[in-house]
Amino acid sequence: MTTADYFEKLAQAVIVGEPEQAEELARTALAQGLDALECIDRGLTVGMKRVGELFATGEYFLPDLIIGADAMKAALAVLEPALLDNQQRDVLGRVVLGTVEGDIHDIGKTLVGTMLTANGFEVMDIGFDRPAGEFVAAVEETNATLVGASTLLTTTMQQQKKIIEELTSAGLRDQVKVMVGGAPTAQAWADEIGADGYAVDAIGAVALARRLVGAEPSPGIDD
Amino acid sequence: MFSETPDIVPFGTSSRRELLTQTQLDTLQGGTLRLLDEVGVRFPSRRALELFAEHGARVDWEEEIVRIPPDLVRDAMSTAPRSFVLGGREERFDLLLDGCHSYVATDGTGVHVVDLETRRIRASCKEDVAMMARVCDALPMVSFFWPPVGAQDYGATAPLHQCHAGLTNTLKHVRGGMTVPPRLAPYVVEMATAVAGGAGALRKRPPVCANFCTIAPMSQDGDSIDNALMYAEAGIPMSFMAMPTMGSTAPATPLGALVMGDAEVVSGMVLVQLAFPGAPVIHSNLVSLMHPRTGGYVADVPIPTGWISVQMAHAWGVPSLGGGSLSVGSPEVGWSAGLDSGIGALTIPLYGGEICGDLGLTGGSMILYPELIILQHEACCFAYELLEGFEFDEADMALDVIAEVGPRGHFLSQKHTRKHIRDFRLPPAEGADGLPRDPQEAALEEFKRLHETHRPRPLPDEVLAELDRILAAADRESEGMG
Repeated sequence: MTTADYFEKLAQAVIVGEPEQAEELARTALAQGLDALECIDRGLTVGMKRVGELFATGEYFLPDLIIGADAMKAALAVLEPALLDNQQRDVLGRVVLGTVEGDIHDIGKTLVGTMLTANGFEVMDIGFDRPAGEFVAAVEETNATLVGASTLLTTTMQQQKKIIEELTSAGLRDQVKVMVGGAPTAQAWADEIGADGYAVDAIGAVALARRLVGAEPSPGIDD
Repeated sequence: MFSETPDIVPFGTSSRRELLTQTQLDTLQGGTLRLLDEVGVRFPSRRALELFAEHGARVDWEEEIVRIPPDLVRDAMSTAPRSFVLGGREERFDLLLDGCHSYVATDGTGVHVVDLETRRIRASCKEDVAMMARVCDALPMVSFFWPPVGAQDYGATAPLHQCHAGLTNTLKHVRGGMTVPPRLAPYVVEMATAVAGGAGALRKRPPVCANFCTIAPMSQDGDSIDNALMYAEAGIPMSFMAMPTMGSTAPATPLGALVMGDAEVVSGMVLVQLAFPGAPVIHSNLVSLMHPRTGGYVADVPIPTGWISVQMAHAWGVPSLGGGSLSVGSPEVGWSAGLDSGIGALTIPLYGGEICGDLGLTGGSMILYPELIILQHEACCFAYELLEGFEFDEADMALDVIAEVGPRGHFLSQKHTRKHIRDFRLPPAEGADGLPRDPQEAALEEFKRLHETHRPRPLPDEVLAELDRILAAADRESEGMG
């Protein structure tokens, strides 16, 4: 197999959504001496871009995106440790993501995380039922530029406000943009608590995140 | 290049319910027999009166009223076939009227059209019929094409042009035989024969059927009766359609209107059976209400007359045209149209009429809103999938998938999800982004797409030429009639 063949097969594993195959290809590629960053940029990223295009045209559904992203993540888990010290994968931004304290609903948050990953963000998912302090600690640890806080309950939505307050107290508010989402929230709520943005669903969250980091508009996401 | 016409999809009878008991049906039929015997029906047709007289009916020659003894009615109706075929261009578009299928039909015959581009109401024309035939050709739930509007750009030959527009723009069965001056009726037979491929083929799989409305109360139209006898001789199936309006042309009780309409329909069928035993006939009895304040026509009254009329047809041993109906009373496409369409779609499989639905018109079958056919087709799809589309497959319990995901996981990453998420037909009234759209706007867009892109396979050139010749001859004869 030529180098170009490896890149093509990695892209294909993402497009058809085969995590095991993607991981195996990544291992073989490294064993053959291929550059890890090139495998990411010319293989996985190309595949994920194609998945996004197919989603934009209506041919792919959410599960296709998720499985494609899973394939990418499986290969990245092999390739990223092999990056050289001076190499860094291009990401649009680093996101700390979680469901707020008192709320155990996490499917929406997980979906947003996968969609952000699939669209070029590096996501640190801190899980569900997480106190505000954990969001702040994760931002400090990862030097993130975005925070995403999810809630499904009217009784826990105040925690989103608390996260913003604690980020301010920690002196990190200027460093990060805060996105809020979840069934009881709305743009008016985001405005009221001083968040930087609100999205109604996972696609909207990607568009919002792209806007907040100043990325170029992406067809199918930003239109 | 032509477009592929999808197979037609009739409803089955698994959801059919009988509303009346056999005793109640017997009572109604007894009422019909009594009306036919004692009140009689007016037949302003010399040939019809003679036929009745020859077979022992009591004829009042001056009043042109026929009183038919019960035994004669029963004997004549016993020769009417319970099952027969209405032919399509290909066998896959044939309608088998056997009581096991309900075929969805368009409504007819309106006179106004909400123009596709200007959105203003104007008089209907032949091109509107052609447009609707092409779009209906692409809609699998529509099995039976009744020209929804009249070809008002033609005079006395308008029904022939409606028939022509149907036959040349859809592969589905066309209700092309409407009442015309009797001298023009042979042209309908000629067109049907040309499309079928000969007189024998016409009898076997007639591509055209006819419809004749009775005149309530208790009368027939002379031209219609003469047309009916001509079509029956050629083997063209026909429906007799009563449209009794409670309070004006019929008693203000559903059973009164039903039994009177039944008597009108049965009288026409008896005549045809006396003349041509075994001729295929269809029973149609559409009861409406006179609006108590305006005197207007109210078709969408929540009373089960359509349901009962199907049972009455079947009690006579003939197929029914009627039953479940999506007919819209309101002139606009709005909440009322949505209600009529949604409820009406569900009544199709419940009532079990062989030909039913009445898609495409508003304002009591007067106004064609092109996009309504898309919305109502969707309602029929919904009803079909809800009542008939479910298949039980034990593997679909997906126990292994549930086990693999386990507590607190999710199914988004499962290949099982990716495969089966495509099994569902999503609501058409949504954008590519999955967000809701205005249904009428989305339907109009879909209608325009089909109108612009769907081109059914044309008839052979020689048949098209023959149809043109027949139409030209009919138009000339019509001009000669003054």
